[in-house]
Amino acid sequence: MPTFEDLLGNVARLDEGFAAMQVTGKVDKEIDDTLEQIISFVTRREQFWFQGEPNRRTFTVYHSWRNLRLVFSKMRNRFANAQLVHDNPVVVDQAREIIPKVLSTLASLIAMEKEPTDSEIEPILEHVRELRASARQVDMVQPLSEELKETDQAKLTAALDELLKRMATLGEA
Amino acid sequence: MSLFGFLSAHRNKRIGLVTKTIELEASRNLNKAVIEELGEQTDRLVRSILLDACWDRMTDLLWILKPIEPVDQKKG
Repeated sequence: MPTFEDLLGNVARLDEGFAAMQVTGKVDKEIDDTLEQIISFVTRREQFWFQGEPNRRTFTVYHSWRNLRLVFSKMRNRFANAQLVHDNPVVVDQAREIIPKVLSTLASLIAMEKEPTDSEIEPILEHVRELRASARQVDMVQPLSEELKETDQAKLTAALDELLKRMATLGEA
Repeated sequence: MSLFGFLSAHRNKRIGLVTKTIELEASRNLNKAVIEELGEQTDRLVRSILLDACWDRMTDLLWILKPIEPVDQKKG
């Protein structure tokens, strides 16, 4: 069973691969194997935390792994289609641009997995939000329209209605 | 969106209208609203997608308020 250290090792390998590609100017197809291993690990963590106890901390960890999966999946997809859509070498530069934010998110997330504490919730959410914002700028995360397909629209509308209702009554006695 | 259009039109291009503190506070309140107000009775995946949607919207709105011209550090 792969460990968090294996995951970090794979991300480091990914970055080394990107650096080599920047030198050669070509996409190395072996990167797909590394991305597949990363996605497989991240998806397992996402599924594990989906079933976690109902509290703010477990939701934060689940949400973070889920966003990492969305980023790595989009990255894999873009590398797989790079030659077809002439996305090379831009895809390499853009992928490399978000690696520092991926690593800082992973470091906080792994620390929280090992030693869960509520004080880490906000910093982790901030890491994920920043990662997502950067990834959106370089088209390295699935668009929201794709995310919406992952769930039932009726459930989503009901939740949104509930949120708006609560927001409207905030501050009332 | 006329308010953001107005703010964008009148912001100082070098200073903008938003600071990191404002950004963090906005984000914190958004997290609180989606995670705590909706609570566990709402499906976890739905909450996660909603939080992403709110983050994306907030990021786009904050972008309007950020400075758009770099400040020359050499100038006194």
